[in-house]
Amino acid sequence: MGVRVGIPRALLYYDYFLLWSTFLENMGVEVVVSQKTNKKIVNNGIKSAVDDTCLPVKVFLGHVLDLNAKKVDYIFLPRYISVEPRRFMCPKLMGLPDMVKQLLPGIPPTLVVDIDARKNGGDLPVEIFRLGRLFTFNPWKIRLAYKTAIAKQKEFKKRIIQGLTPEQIFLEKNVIQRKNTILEDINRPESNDLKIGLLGHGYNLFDNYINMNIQGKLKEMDVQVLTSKMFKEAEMNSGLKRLQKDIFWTFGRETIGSAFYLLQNKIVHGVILLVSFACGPDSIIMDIVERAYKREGVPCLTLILDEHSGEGGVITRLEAFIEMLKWREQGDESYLSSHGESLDCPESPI
Amino acid sequence: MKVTFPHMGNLWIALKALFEKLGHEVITPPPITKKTIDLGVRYSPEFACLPLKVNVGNFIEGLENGADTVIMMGGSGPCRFGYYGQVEREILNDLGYSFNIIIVDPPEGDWKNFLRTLGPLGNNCNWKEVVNALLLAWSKIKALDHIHRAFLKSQHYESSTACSCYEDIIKKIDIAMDRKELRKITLQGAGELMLLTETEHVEQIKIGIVGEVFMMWEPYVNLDLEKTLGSMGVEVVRSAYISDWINENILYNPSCILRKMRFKRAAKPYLSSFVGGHGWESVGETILFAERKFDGIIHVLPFTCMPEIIAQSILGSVSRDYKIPILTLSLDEHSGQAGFLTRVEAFIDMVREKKRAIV
Repeated sequence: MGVRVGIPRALLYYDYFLLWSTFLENMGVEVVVSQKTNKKIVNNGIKSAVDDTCLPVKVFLGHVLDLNAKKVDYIFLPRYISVEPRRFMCPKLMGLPDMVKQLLPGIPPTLVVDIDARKNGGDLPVEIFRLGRLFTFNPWKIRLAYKTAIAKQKEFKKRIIQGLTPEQIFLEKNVIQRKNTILEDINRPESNDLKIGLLGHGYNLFDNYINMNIQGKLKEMDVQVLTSKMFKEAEMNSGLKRLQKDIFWTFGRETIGSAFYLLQNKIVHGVILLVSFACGPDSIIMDIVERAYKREGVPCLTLILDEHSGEGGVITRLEAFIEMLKWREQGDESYLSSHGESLDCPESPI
Repeated sequence: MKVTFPHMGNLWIALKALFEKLGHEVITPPPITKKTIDLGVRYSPEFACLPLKVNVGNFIEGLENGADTVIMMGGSGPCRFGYYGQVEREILNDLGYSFNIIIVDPPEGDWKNFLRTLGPLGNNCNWKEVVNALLLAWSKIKALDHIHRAFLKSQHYESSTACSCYEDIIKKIDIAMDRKELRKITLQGAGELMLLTETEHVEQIKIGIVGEVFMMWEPYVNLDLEKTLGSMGVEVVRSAYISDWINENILYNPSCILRKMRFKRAAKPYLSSFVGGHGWESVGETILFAERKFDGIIHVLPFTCMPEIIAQSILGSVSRDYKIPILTLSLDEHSGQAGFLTRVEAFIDMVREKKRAIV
């Protein structure tokens, strides 16, 4: 029997799973993924984490414990410091492997790979070889596996822009091939649906337990959703031109870039920011985005997720937001304020 | 130019000297009070950490007092602090103030841009004047830190005398505009404070303070932690000073680089990568304090601080392995004096009991 390596279904699973699973499988390793997030996982995570930690990290700890129960030989915990020059991941991701080891004693040994691309390309190949050497002595095999993994990751990026969710891409073998990107689809003049942007980190957008299936709920309300993962580099860069200082978080750049791109090109009727409670980078990014939207009078709803979020409250807020957008579309727009400022309104439009 | 800047401990003294020497009118924001924090909290993003809110409060008060230029530090991540200036500018713009903001970002190789940003601060002074101003500010920082170290060594003997003595010396340092005079004041002041240590003292316990630097250096936001401990007869050691930071990151002073290497080596088994801010330092310094046989550690952080939450998660095992009590104080604008005092008192009692049981 081969070595079993566990990958937690949390945090950057939604961005880099395909890269690592392809690499590890090509090394002859059996990849085990933890269950989908559920109440037990969340509770286990909360119990083991420090109180102030954000929900996604707590959930991650729960997933590691789930893998522990699955009796894997290793747990794969890459240390994402930076994936592009001059930008960082969140500090919590930098300290995550150490945090997991200290908070959860007794878990299987961890495989830590340092990903630091701050200096020209970084030493990712070196780290990959260090990892590959655990399973094979054949450097060519490692190189080949690495190349395949990188190719798969590129493919993944393309698919995500086409509007598929990561889970669809990871699990279903023959997914529907699309010709256009979702943005081009949505932008067709004949579509009359309400369009909104759903912006946030991958683990909040796609973990349906954490976000209480927000994408499904929006679909039920017949709303076309654009997530912040569906934008091309060039589109994000054009949005980022509004900033005076380059933003130094990779995910922050995604959120701000897509938010400003949507705002500039007037693609959507409103945006929803999906933020976890106590998220450091997002506390700043949220403010920048909200301020810009407020100045231009485009509605923007911030949904804060934590372990106490009740589904009822979220539904009410979503429905109210969508209804409000619809009214703005139908009636005289100036009758509805976008951000709670009082308007001089002689009679109710409804 | 009428410049203003944010408060952080006694740093205002050095900044004031620097900008006055360069020929600017300095509007020091009034000391941080409840009103400052209220103003900051009202206009800042809800989940931002406390230092940002305090900065915003300082700026508003400074601008209200007539300043027209705001000076702020920048950074290159991953800690939120690097983007503070950008957010603060937008907040103040939306509030309708007309002002200039100069955000001092680390040059990262782009010296031309760096000097262009700093240009207006130079105020057409020649290089000699600029260097003199910088040297004076640097000596003030060193003097302030030296006096603070002496104060911490003496305050647990006779807390009220030490406090008033310390305040007098700080005032003198603020007035001094000459490096020679500054040296005299420092030596004399440290001597005066050291005199206090000659009284008899029964039982000494030593507490190290680690954590996020703003919370550690600014007495108003940490609810005067150091003096509170001093009045309980506890000797306090602060893990980092502003002069250490400047030595390490700007002047590359060899002895401080060595210090950096020491704490990195100490932290290695627990945290092997930098995590932004001072998270790595907090873990490393805690271990170094434990090795120096301190009786306890107090870890202060602003609520939701990312690097310090990592440190906090890891300090649990450090505490277990080194058998050293650690109290984590996560503070924000809602921290109440009474709850804080109860926790600190209980912690100190526990540390005392532990020490008695061992001896």
